[in-house]
Amino acid sequence: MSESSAVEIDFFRLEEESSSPNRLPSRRNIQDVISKINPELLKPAIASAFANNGFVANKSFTSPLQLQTLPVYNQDCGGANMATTAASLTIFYNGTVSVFEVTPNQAENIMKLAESVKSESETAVKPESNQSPAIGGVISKDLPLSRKKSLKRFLEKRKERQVSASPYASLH
Amino acid sequence: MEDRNATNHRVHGMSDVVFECVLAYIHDSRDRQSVSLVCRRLYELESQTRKHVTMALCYTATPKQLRRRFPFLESVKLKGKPRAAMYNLIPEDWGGFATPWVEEISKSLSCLKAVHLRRMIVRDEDLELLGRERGHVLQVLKLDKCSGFSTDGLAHISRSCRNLKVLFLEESQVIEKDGEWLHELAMNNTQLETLNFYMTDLSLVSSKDLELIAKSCKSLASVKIGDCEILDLVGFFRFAGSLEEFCGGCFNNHAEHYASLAYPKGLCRLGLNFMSTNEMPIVYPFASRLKKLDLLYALLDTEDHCTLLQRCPNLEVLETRNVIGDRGMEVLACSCKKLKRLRIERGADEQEMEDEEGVVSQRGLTAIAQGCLDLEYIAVYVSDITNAALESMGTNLKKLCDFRMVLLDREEVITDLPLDNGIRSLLSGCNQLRRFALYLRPGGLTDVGLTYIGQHSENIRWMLLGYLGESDSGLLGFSRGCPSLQKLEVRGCCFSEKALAMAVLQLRSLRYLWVQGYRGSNTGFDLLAMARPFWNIEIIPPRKAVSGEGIEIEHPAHILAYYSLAGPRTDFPPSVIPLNYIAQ
Repeated sequence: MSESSAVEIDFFRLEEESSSPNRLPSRRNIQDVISKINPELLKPAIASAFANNGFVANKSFTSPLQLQTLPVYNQDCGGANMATTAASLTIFYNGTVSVFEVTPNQAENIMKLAESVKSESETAVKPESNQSPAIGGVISKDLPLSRKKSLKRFLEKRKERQVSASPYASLH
Repeated sequence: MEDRNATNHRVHGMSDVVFECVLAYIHDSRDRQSVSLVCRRLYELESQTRKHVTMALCYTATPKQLRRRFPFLESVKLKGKPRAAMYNLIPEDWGGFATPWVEEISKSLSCLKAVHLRRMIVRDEDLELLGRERGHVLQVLKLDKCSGFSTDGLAHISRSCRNLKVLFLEESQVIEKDGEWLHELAMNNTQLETLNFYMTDLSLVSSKDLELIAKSCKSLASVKIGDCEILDLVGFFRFAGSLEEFCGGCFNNHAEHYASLAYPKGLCRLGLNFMSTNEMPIVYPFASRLKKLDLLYALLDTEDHCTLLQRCPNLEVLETRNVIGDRGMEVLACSCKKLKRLRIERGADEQEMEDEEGVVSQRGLTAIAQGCLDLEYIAVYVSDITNAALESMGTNLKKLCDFRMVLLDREEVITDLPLDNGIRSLLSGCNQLRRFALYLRPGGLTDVGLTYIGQHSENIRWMLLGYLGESDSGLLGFSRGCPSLQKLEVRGCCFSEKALAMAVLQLRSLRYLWVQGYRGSNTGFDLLAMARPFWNIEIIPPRKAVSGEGIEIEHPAHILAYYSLAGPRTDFPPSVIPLNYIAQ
């Protein structure tokens, strides 16, 4: 479990030893990091977020809890040549998971393709929408009440005791 | 005003010393959090004087971050797996590994005396390290519903932690090799006050070791053990002069043998496993002293409950199965006026296994509402319910902080659904509620009812919604309220990914979300609408698992999302997938 991929924003400037004398205020820090997000991938994510609307970004960065609806930033995005660097694209489909190494352009094309297919067949898909969507939404009746582990164990033990005590007798 | 001289700090005209003295009296973590936000100096002072931290999820910060902020911590509680793990819903290897925490504790948290790990994976090597590095100062070790370790690891603890006052292992899955660990404890420890290996299936322990512990540890107050024959504990009971709480044991012999057993004079919290009608009379001599009674694992029927509870006027805590029945609830309401906590669990499904009177309904709840006015906590599995019963609770139970109700699915027809008005009355009447769980069925609560919950839950911090609402608009109405909601669990509801994402963004105090059962989008991208910095999103995809009886069970997908200062996890097992990486 390496620390290098952990993300830490030093809000209170506690790490004096690693900072320069003219350290940026925390607000700037967050914006700097967010600006390193690959713009190619920001677009579809923002588009889908704004499509829902209702609570769009007019909030300032006062605390992590009130940040805008931006996608999670990619720590590895610093400075590299975006257009040709391949990254993992994971696709969930019909209960299977596939991972591909694609460039950002390819990824955008794939996502565009998926969206165009979706809008065309929206009406046809609707009745099926409860069946097997990408990650696996389920209708209520597929989820039975589950029992607490400790009680389950006790009820099993009780059954064993009753069977061993009087295997042929009725229980009450 | 402010003197910026580094050696003589003054905050708002008062010296540090004043604040240090005052801070020593502030214990509540929310108050301390407020203090730390005032100014930088108070933040530092608060960090240095903080004695206890609870991390509701161990992935919200790294061990190093914890240590850096609170270097003089004396007590820490860490929680790992989602609560649903207690119901067998989470893959065993999900995560919550204790290793990085134990390593940090051993290296630098030198003031730490108490460690409480809940639903985490702990290895023998972790226990060995902890014992070796902190054994001389460790006073409290709680491995609460943990797994991954064996009795070898426990033996290390027993050998190295001679000052241990509390050893708590309740409901942990321990690989049992022998009973050495208890023997080592008996040989080395004289300080023990609490010993708990309840519900662990550890059976190779010797009653002689228990007796020795009772003899050596004069302050031994609470002992909860596994299935050890009660008759073997005669010596233990004789020597445990300070004992106040005892749970466990079992009755394998004829009832007469137990009649002459003597129990410690101070015993007031009791749970005798596999106790049936015939053995019940052994409790009568001290029933009037009882403050807490655990009948979850007893073999009593409804009539037995009525007989026993009548004799317990000082009862404050009762835990039992729904075999207590409405009649038992009525007796409770009449006889146990001091009742503060009531937990009614779900008994066996097969009719023959439980008393046919063993169902709880609006009748029992109404009786309790009118009779036990001091009630602070109620968790109940009901077979039937009405709005009126809930209204009665709202009117009478003004001290209620924690309400949990599950409507069982055996009965086809329920007397009075939907429960919109009853729930509204309950929530507006019980305004001290902090925790709320409601698990119904389709038709149990409409979108209007769900919106009511949002509107009337001022102080509620944790909620479980099971099969509530009719559509996305219910969830959106709900999420416009709930100003204090920090942790939300949703199961079996029909909400779409889009609505869930929007709800998350509207619930202003939310920092943790767990969902099982939802309408997934075809692209799987709708959930990304809630993506933002510091918000981790994880998916446990649908999977098939084989239950204990060899039946294949389908587990639908889960969503887990939470705020974290540590970025995405770096220790995912194959069964968990971070949604963040899809955005790369």
